[in-house]
Amino acid sequence: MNPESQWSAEDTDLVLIEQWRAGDSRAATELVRRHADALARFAASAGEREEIEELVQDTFVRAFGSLDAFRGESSLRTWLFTIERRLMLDRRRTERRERNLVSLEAAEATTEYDALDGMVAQETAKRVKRAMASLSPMQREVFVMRVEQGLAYKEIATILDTSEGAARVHYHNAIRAVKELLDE
Amino acid sequence: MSECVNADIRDVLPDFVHGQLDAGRTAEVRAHLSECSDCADEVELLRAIVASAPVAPAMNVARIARALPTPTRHGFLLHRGGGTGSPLTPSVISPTIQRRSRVWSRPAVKIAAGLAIVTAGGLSLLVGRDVLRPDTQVGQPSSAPLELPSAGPAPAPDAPVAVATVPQPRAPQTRQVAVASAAGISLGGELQDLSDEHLQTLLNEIDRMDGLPAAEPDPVEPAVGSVESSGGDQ
Repeated sequence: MNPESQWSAEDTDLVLIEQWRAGDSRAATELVRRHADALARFAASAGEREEIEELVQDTFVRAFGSLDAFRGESSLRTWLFTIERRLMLDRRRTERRERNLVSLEAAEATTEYDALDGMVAQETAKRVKRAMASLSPMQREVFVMRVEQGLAYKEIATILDTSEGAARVHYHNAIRAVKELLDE
Repeated sequence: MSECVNADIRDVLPDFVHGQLDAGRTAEVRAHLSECSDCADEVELLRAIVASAPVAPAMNVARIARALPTPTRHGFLLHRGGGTGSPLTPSVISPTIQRRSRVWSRPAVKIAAGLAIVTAGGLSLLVGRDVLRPDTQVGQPSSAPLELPSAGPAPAPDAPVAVATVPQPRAPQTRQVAVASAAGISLGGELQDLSDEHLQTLLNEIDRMDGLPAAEPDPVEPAVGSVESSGGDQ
């Protein structure tokens, strides 16, 4: 339990949402504390490099502005991922001509990758990145969510508005393709 | 790198890498990995991918939370500004009402609504004038079958029929008969079913019409006494 927080892990997100609706703004802060980092990682895994905090903030603002639409059929985090993904797609459409998104290959040169030299062989990591870059957009998105974020197929299906079975197939096709490219 | 045939285990390897399996399932996967080099290699690959995933920056929770709207007792939302500690500003009455008012306050929407009203009015006038249009009179083709008036004497089946036959300007070989009146008298079906008296009444109505075609029509030579079906030679 966060020392600054009055809530425990047993307090579900739905409880916090109800408390926020009742006027307790600290409940909103607690929800941000619980999910902001995961949203930031999700954005980074999806290729976002700039203004991630603004993206996460926009996600929360959008979510809190339409909490009536959240029926609790999925987890709050999955719902937030869904909103964030839409915002990322909107952002990319808007900025496609204005800036060049950092490609996966370019990301290899970032300092965070360099910091992993001791953990992963650099050449292997590069080949993995190249293999992932060769996947179809849907395969790559499923693969990243499944492997880098550890999301369940059900969550991935909700975020991508597809079926659980389709998400599973995309994942297994993706891992097979990555392996084949690494074997070449 | 080959694939293990145990799809059940392979399916949960990402969960194993992230430590999301319960103790029993984790032990089951570990036991499998000790015997299956394919799955062991796959786990190493997944770990490498996770380790090379981009690192996200740390989030400023307080700043994000300050930007969030806050509910009021009336269910309205108040935005608290973008993290600068600004005072509350009642920017929203309710999300739905705000969206609606925003939509109707847009100039483009106002113009579109005005155009829609003008278009609807214009179409209404055109539809109204269509009844009196010159092309429903003698000498112009009629696009729709005309109806016989429901009132009036029933025509005798063997009565002589007077028909105005008019060659069409663009398709002389096609002849068509169309008769209408300003009062809404219209003909349809078989002209030969009409009595002389009824036809004369209609012709008188036609004579009183002042509709003019847009272009000068070819000379009209009514052939009284001959009978032609409107669709006979089309």
